[in-house]
Amino acid sequence: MNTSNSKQGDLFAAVAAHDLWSFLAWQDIKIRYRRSKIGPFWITISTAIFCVALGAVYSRLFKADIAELLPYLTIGMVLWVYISSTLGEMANLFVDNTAYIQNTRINPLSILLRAIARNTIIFGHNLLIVIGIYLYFGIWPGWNVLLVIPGFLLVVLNLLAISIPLSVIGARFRDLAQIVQSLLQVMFFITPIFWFPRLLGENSWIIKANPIGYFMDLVRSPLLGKLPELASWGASLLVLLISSIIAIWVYQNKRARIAFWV
Amino acid sequence: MSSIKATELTLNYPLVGIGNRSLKNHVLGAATGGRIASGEAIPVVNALQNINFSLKEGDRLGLIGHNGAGKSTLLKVLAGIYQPTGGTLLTSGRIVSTLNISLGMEPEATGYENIFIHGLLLGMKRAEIKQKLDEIATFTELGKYLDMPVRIYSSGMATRLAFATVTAMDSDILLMDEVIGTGDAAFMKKAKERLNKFINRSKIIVLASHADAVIHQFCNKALLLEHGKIIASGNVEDVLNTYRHHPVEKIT
Repeated sequence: MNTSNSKQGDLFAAVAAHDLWSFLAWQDIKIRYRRSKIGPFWITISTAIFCVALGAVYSRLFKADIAELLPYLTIGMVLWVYISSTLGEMANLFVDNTAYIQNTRINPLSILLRAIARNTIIFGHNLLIVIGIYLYFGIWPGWNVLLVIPGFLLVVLNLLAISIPLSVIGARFRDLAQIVQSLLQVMFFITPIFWFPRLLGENSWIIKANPIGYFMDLVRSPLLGKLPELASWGASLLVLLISSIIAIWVYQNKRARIAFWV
Repeated sequence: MSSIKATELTLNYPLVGIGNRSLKNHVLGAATGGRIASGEAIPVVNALQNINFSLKEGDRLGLIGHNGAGKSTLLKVLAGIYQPTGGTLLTSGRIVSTLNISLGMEPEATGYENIFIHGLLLGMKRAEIKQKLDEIATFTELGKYLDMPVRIYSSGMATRLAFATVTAMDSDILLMDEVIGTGDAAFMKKAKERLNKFINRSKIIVLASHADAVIHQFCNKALLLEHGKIIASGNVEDVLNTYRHHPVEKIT
């Protein structure tokens, strides 16, 4: 017997129903390839151009060595594009999927996992820039690079936990999408992506209070052959805990409303 | 065993208007004690009130009622799209709803890909769809078009594709809002046979329709709804009679 109120098991059910969302996510990518021969590599190219231009200008501005700044900046940008496009999509997620939500019994988290999976595949494409940087500057990150796997996983879990309340509240309040977009714009400048945290000096609260800064460290440092700071692991786990609690609370209480709101 | 049991099922539908859509206004409203920009209270529609019925295998239930009586809403609750705000609903068995057969059509994807997408959305596993793919493809008679994006299809071709996919499903509980069709005259007879097979394969059916003939053909039980309440239930002929002689109440 299933009751129709089974929201507790939704996350497990959605993960189990990977047939659906993984197919749809790949389908999204396939369609991009069909529209243009290079598909999502358009994003890769534009990210690459952006990084090289920004790197050339800022290495002069900050009087930094381009061989240090460009790899740092590029890896940071690739991760930033992933984080910001995933979070930026969430507030309008259920509104964009109204047709599914109102016409079939669909687990809202399947829709969410589809979006995260699609963005992760695009992230995979963009890693090509990182390989280009390795080749150009002759970087070999060493075995520390393996730490990128748990680090990236922790970032993805964080994104999932933050996405749940964003998407649910975004279905109810339509201006959340604009609010998120403006916040992301500010976040881009206050997150250490194209500048080094050391430039702000010790104990800057701008760096300490910004969770995305910790996510950056978890993925960027191993890719540069360094160890992420212990604080980054701790802070990311703490953010995951807090956002999971909010996610569970919002989802438990408002999941049934989504179909009425969209 | 497939079954449906609804006890005191109630659905209150909040109508969130434009004035209530802004988070900024809500925050402003709270910060200023509601003087500057509070949205008005959210109206609630009592779409379903204290619905009780139970169905077991072999039951074919027809939902009868005027427009806005709550037929489609009840189907959506049974389908799991809306969660009831009161009462309980217990279902067992795979539920397939054909409330919108063109659901999930991706215009850029090919016909074959759309069969997969549609099938997955209806709750099939990928292996199950693969197994049925040939049969669906043959039925559509779309041939090489199935390798082309659906965006170039005529509306008739797209409907054929959707119809063939939906009716390939094996369902325990089938929910239909009006009988699905395909419009295409040459295709009609073939489609009708397939539809009958599809309906008869299902263990339980709930069908909403305005056409008496359709209810007579497919149903052995009926439920008359009015303003979200059950007015009459039981034998098809009796309920249809009540419906014909029942004056439409003004909505107050």
